[in-house]
Order: sequence, then C-alpha cells, then structure tokens
Amino acid sequence: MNTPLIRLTGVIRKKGAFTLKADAEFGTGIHLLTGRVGSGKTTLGELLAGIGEPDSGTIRWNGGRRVMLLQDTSYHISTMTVQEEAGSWHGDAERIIRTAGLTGKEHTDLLRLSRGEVRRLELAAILTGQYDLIVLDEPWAGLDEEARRWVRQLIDSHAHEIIVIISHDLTSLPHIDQLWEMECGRLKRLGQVPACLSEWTLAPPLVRYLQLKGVQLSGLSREELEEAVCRIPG
Amino acid sequence: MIEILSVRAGILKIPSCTIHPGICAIAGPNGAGKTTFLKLLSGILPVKSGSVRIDGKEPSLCTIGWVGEYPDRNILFPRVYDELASPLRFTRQSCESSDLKVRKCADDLGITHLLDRDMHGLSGGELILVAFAAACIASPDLLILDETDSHLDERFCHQLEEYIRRSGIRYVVFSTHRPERMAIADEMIRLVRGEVGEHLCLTEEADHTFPDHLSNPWFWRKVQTELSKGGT
Repeated sequence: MNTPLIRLTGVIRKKGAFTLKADAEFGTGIHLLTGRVGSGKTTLGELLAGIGEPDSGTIRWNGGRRVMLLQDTSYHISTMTVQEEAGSWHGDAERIIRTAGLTGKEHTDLLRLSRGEVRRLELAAILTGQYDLIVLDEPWAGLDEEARRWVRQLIDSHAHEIIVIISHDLTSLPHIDQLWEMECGRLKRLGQVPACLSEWTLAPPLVRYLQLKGVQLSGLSREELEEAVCRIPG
Repeated sequence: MIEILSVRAGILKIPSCTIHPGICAIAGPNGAGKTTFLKLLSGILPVKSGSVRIDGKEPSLCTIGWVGEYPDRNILFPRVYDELASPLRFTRQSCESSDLKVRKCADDLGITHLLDRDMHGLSGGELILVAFAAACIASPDLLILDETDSHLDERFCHQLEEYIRRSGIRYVVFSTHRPERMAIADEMIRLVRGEVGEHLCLTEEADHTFPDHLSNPWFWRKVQTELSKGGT
C-alpha cells in the first residue's frame, strides 16, 4: 500500500463570521498543530477526519484512508463495561485493556472509572488500532504526569501513519516532526522540527526562554525540553 | 486565612492545612483528591469530621465562584447577559446595580460584544471567559478554577491571570496538571493519595540554588520573570 498522504487544496470552511482557509499536505509522521483558542484547530481536525466537509476546495488522499479522531472522551462511551467498550473497537480487546492498564477491571462499569481511566481506554483503543490518520485533539486534558508519559510513549511507537496532535499543552509532547500553526483561521506550516523553532513567532514561554539563554532545542518532546533545560548556562 | 483542621472527607485525610490570601495552586496525580479538595473548600462537600473555615466562616456562608473544565455543562441561561447577571439576580440585587456590574465585568474581560449573544454557539474560549465572568461577578470570597486551563492557550491563561490579580478576589485556588501554570501561584499544595504531600510558599524571594527542572514551580517563576524583563 502507498504511504498515506492528505492534500488540502484551497480548502475553505465557514462557520458564522469565522472562515478557515487551508492549503497543506500532511504526510506520515507526527504533526503538532498549535494556535490560539478559537483559531480553528478543532475545525481543521474535523475536516481531516471527514466529520466536516469543506465549503469549497478539495481534500485528497493517497494510500489508505482509515481515520480516527479523538475529541472529548466523556462523550464517546457507547457501552456499559470496560470489556464491552474495548470490544466495540473491532480491535484486539484484550490488548486494548492491557495497554490501558485496566486488566482486572474488565467488568467495571465505565461510569465508575476515573476520567483519566476512560481517556486511557480510548487512547489505547485508538493507538493500538489500524489507522492511516489519527487526529488527537487535546489528548492530555485531564491526565496527570504519569499518564501523559504513557500517552507520549504510545504515540512515539507510531511511525507509519499520519498523526496530528492538536494541543496547547507544550510540556507533554512526544517527538514532533512537523509544526503547524493556526492563526485566525489560516493554517500555516512552520516546518520541520527543530529547524523551524527559531522562526516560531508565537512560541510558548519555555521555548522563548531557552532561545533567550542561547540554548539550542533538539526537538519539542518532553524529554528534549528537559534535556535543553539542563543545558541552561549559569 | 483558609483553615482546614482534622478533615476526613472522601479520599482526603488532612490533619491541618492553612491557605493564605492570594493564589494557591493544587497539584497532584489523577485520583489524589484535587477536585474533592476544591469541593471541600467551596462547601459543596460538607465535612463529616473536622472543620473548614474561610476567614473564620463556614464555606457555605461565603460567596464562592467556581469554573470547571467544561463550563458548558453548568450553563443556566440561553443569553450571555443573563448568565452573567444570574449570580446578582439570585441575591436580589437591583436591576440598575446588576446591570452596571454586568457591563463593568464584561468590559474588564473584553467580552462586551458577547453580551447579547446566545450561549449556544460561543467558541470554547468565549465560553470560558463567560463562565469566568459569571464566577467573578459577585465578588466571591473564594474563586475556584478546577482544571480550567486544560483547553486554554498560553496567552489566554495569561489574560485570565492578569484579571485575577486586578480583581482583588481574596482567595483564588486552582487545580492544574500543567507545570508552567504554577508560576502564577503564591503557594502550592501537592496532594498525594488524599494527603498534603508538599506545601510550598512561592512568595519569598527565589532561592536560586534550586535545580532547573520542568516540575519545579520556581523554574517557571524564573522563566516568567526573565521573559517579562526582556519585554517579550
């Protein structure tokens, strides 16, 4: 099968006074999409996942187009128990439960799980599944440090798919290949990480601070940030 | 002072804990009792044993503002104006006085243009601002933000923080999983399995012998201070 690739040409999507415009190509690898609240990131995620349709322009696929989108977990439960929910994903239910760290809780009512556990179950199902494109919209929301590390490791094990992470949470990231920014509905490709980081005008405080201190960042993952912080002179 | 004494409630087991006026961050892993702790402070969760006092008063006798992670789940009215006015109307303030307060609060938060809008159809960020305004409008003794930052960008959080500082609200307690958010706090409580695992005062002059590390609130304080010095 061809390696998956999505090409957006002249894509326009309107919602009231808001207009999203995108010309872009997403290939295999891990993409980070950042931008201000309300800038259109979630709308783009929905277009990529095929939930929304552009008003004009085209979204073309090369290779397979099995797609999965993670949004707010608590709305995604469709069954009663952990076992049923894992089974509903048409994957390896036992592997999903094991990956989520929920072995022994197979018969637990989903509503009795903590929010973090529900999210782990869903992320495990998505990230052990067979997809060509996975869009993760704020995957770290509500998760603690240990769970964040777990999500990172799970994402890092994916190399042959297109993964688009939408997040404001810039201290929890896995390895990132490409950086994108949404500004008032316009999608901009900043480029390959880490080369593009010096031209990141809306960079978060930590990245600006490291630049101020003359520390070169090798990437945006949590581990790379921590390593860079250790190299701050003085 | 907020004083917690010999409290056992849900998972929480707190022999004694004092929170000073200012901004207090609550950290800790999932299930450590952060939300329970906030519910305890707000009076939503009554204590079975022990006591919680806010400047000597029971929480249920104080005015409390609360903003959660998903404010759209707690909306009462269809129009932004009415949502903002509701805490004032519920305490039977006059129309004139509540109208003045609604307009002042909306102006302070830059949401005057939203007042006549339907709550339904606001963007995620606008919704947070409206919920935040509704929580602050009655000048609460205590404002609680329960992981409100999980869907917010850096500048947005900063805007809220500036507002909190200017608002003069005596106690602000917020929970978060984002280490960089600790920079704004005057003190930090880390809960571990329902107990206070760490309680740091962050108002004294920074001791620069601490290690630079992403989980260290002092490090984020330094990042913030040095960036604002640089004018960025």
